[in-house]
Amino acid sequence: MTPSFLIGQYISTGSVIHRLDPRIKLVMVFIFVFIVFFANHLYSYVLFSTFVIVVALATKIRLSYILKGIMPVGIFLLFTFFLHVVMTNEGQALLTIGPLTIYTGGVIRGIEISVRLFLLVFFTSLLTLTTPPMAITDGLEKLLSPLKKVGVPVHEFALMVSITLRFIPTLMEETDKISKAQASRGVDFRSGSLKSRAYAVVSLLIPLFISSFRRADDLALAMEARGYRGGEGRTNIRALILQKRDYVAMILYGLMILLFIFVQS
Amino acid sequence: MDISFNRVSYIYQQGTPFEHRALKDISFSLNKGEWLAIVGHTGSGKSTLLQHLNGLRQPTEGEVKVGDFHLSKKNRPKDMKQLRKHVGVVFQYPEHQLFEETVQKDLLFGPKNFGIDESEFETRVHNALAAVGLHEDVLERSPFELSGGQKRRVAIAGVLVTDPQILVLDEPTAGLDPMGQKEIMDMFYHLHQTKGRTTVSVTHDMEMAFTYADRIIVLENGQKLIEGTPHELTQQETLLQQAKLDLPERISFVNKWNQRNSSQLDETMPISELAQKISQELKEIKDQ
Repeated sequence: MTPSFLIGQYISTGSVIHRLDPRIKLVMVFIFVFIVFFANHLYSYVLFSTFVIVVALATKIRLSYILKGIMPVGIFLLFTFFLHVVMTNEGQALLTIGPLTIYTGGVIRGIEISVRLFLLVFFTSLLTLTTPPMAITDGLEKLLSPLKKVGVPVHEFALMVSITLRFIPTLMEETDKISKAQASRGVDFRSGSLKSRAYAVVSLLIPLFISSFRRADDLALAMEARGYRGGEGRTNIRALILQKRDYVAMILYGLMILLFIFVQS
Repeated sequence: MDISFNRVSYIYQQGTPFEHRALKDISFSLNKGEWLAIVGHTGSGKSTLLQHLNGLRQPTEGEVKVGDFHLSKKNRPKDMKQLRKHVGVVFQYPEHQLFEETVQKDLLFGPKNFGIDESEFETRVHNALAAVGLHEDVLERSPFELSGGQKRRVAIAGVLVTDPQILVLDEPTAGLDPMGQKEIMDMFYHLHQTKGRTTVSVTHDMEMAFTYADRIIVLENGQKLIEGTPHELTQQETLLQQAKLDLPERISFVNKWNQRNSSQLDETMPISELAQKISQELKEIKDQ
């Protein structure tokens, strides 16, 4: 496991944010993704930043740790920033380097886009940090269940996602084991010619494929043996019921959005 | 090659909320030709320890020496391949590492990686197959069409083929029937005896540790709880219980017998002799 890459990793601290209904959290993130791109006022950014930081503090996960986790996205942010700085031709010319002229508009645009993206990634990572993958899938299934009426296989889709999520750690563990076994037989995954490295990857992939098929087979058998026959009439063991805290969260979030609309106009 | 651990600690995911200290201040040394068993419960750190022996992990603190190779947090030997050539590791379910089209190709995977001269290939493959008791017929077959037991033997042969001086065994008999377990372990013991190989085996099976090892280290929570010969361990039943380990049935039986009848049976004698002595003593008790 690479500890530096945190997106998608769940850290349990039992905070209020952790206990919120996954549906609420999903909807909040979804709305956030949407409205963050409407922000174009300094105070809107201040508002969103404060909101995101308050939520982050409420998760009881160390802030430095969350930031460290979204670091990899930093390169992407920097890239978009420079792209905007270089490509925008608005405002006053600041300086000229060869054929490139940098304008004030470009810098402002670059900063704006970076801040938006940063807020976006930060808030989304809070969702995955505080919600177990299975809860996210459950929430999604519930949220999308109206689509069943028009023939979308929502349950099957959710099952697929949860099985995939369930097997990510297993497959990582398996990869780790097999790569250790092959490393012990002298494989070098890090150096060597392209050809020898490709061969090294083959020695890892084939055993991995075989074990995935074996696991898939076992899982299918175990599910059938326990009478699984699709989503029809199936209830969920973790029933999602809105609690008082969920309503409070919704009200607070609504207020935040109202404030945002007020600031913008 | 000698092995020594000097105050070795290993921490997983240091500096994260998942930080976990798997090994704490472990020191021991092992001479050429010895068989050391590392025993412990699940999560005792035995697999982590094992991975230090061929540089799959580097200690967070302390130093590991394997022959002339020194491993510490900052020091990673440049010729890691040489170290791995000399230290053969048989992992749990080794058949999961098979991937080639034919058994022959899979066996030659290691030797090719280690740059062993091609002229030696034939004899090496021959010897490795003989060691695991497989017929040369299998060489042209796909490893995936073999039976479970055969697969495991092929995988073990794939480690033996590089002729390592140190053999590291991570529960290589897991999932085999008792007969198969004994066959495989006897095979390793034979290799150990005839070729003077240093062997380190990791297991939770006390029976196995007592049968084959010259020395046993008991790990609990990443710490060395006991170190001693099998005979010395027979006197440590309470400490062993702390590590949730039982003495082999025969030994705990002899211990109890000696206590109850204040006799002096020696648990190291062959089982048939032991049975005779016990029946003798039983008769004496009856006569009194």
